[in-house]
Amino acid sequence: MYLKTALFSVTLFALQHIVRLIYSLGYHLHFYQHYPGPCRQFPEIEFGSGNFYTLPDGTTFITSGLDMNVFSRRFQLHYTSQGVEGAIYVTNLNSSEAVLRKLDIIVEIAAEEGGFSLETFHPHGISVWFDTTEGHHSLFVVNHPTRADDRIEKFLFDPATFTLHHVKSFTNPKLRSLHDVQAIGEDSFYATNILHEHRSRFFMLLELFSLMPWSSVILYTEETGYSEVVSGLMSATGIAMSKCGAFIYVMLSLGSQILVYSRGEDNSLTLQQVFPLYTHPDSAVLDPVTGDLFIGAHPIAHQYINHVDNPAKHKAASQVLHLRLTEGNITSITELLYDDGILISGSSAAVVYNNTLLVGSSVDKLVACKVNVPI
Amino acid sequence: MDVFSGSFKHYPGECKKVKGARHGSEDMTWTHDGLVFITTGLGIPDVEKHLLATGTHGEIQLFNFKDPGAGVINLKITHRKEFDIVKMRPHGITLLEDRVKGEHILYVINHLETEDRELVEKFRFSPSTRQLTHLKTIELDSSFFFNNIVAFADDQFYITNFAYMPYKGVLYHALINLFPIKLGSLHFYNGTKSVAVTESHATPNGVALSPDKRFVYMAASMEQTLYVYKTYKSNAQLSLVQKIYLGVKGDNLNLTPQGDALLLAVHPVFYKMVFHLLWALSPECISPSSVLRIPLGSDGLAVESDITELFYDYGELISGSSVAAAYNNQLLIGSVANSLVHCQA
Repeated sequence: MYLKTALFSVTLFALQHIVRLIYSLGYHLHFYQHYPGPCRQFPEIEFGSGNFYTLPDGTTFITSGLDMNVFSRRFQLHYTSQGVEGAIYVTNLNSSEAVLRKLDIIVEIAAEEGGFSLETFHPHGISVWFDTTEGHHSLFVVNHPTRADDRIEKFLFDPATFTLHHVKSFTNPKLRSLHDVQAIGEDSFYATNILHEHRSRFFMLLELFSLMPWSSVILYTEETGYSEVVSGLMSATGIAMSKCGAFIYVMLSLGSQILVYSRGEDNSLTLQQVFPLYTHPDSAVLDPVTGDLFIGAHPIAHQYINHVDNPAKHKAASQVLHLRLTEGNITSITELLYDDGILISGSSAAVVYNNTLLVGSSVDKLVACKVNVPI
Repeated sequence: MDVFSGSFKHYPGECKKVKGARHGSEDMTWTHDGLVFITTGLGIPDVEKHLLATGTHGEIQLFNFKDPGAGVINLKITHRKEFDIVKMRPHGITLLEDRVKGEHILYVINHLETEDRELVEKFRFSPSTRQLTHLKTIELDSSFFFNNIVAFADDQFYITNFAYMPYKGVLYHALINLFPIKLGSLHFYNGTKSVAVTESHATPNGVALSPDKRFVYMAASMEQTLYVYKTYKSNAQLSLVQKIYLGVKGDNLNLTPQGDALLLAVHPVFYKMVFHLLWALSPECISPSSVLRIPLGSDGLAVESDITELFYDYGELISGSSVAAAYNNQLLIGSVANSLVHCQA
């Protein structure tokens, strides 16, 4: 009798979990396309423009050539056969016809054991810190080096020669399956772990589909080292900071939420607002002029999962959201763009500067649209 | 019922409510020089109570795209005593455009619920006095409920029979909106009587005619489908040439002035629309609004892959959008019982 009850309960539990999963994959969803104005694709980028950071003068850094150790074999084969390389591009959105430039990366320390190597460089999240005393820009980039643990790379930007000098690598067991980074100082940052598992694809898929909340936010400062400031999240992806550094925004993709934290003196994070999103946000880019947030999102999850497995065959719907903030809290949300995946697949980042909307994708194109609608 | 549906808001430009709109703006018909005739005062429960309480009735309003700031004005109707203007509850509207003198002929569906009659009123517009003269009343079979109308020729029009409704009560309306039973069809009135010219559909709603009168477009709400029919000289039966599943419940259809696209107003979250129709004047019962642009090819068929969502609102600016018209980079959006919105692209 007890065995029957136990079996029935387990079956019911498994059933509701499967239904929840199927629902969150979005097979029932359909939306119509719309754009803020005429759009064009950048011919230079074929394989990803996953994350952005925009400076107050319109200079925007774009990471390209994403690959993660937990991606599928089919994806890795496609990546190597197409000769894709990890790279960082820069563009200036201030000019009417934004032109893309690939940055040369100079490695100070040779690629010895654990050192930085361009061959294994697969950039993801990016954040820029402007040091007012030294007058230089430090770029913090999430790197998924081939067959090694995820880490954060630090580069110094030389605007005269458009080069990046690699200065430091940040590694630690607390940095698991990294997604994004937010610089808070010359040598300090927050980083998001999208998942706990970072080596085995099988366990990664298990963790993903079990919907276990093992995602977290890690803080690193020179004084306090690496610490887990927020834990128990459901796939945290993008992380952004408000203009004055008072608030931290964490995107939960599978959790379909945005968490707003207020930042303490000691860099601790206190939850201030939970904003339900009903879509899956990837990264948030701060508008350096207005302080608003622009989000690249994946509205139909199953399309994105298939797209990242086989980009040549599957398209994924893209969506750009514009969030307005009041005293740190999100108070309004508008959809700037929706595309069925034909113009751009798997939008992961977006920013509006000077009436131009730049939309980036995880492993697809880079698109610029004129913004003819009120922002 | 769209319980799990919902999208994010976006506008094609600067959108504002239009002055002078009070009891909704269920349907619109337009002229090539920017005039729009709008029906207001459809007798849904809350609105009907308000109309009786304030001693007002359904009206036909005029909006001018060339002067959007002026808002809408109620058109004065000169009529014989037999026409009971107090009981007027207009629904669909269409016109036969007079491009020479501007004396357009309007046909308006009028539901006389108190007497259980379904009528189509014929008016002539006088551009000099900006008044309507009531010409005649066409009586239709009252066991049906008619929704939208599009003029074909003088005293000839296509009219959507929303459902077979021998009993026009709120409960019956609610049932029709819950279960997509095929109780309606598209009718053609040939001057003397109206006959069904298509097979049965569940709640046919909006109807539009291509400029060359060769194609009839019809949106069936509960079926979430757009039907495209080809007309023949006799207008006896239409033949179906295209069927597009939209996935949303469409309301009224209008062509763009250039004839290159259809504008379909939709109710994206239908269960909210059901509550809105029952308690239209309650601020909590708002319903999201959306307008789709369905481009038409040179062959008269709709281009399904290029359908764009022009407008989406959560219901705060406009609730329950039922119709849209475009002119010269402007969009006018009407609702069943809520505001009238003008967007400047």
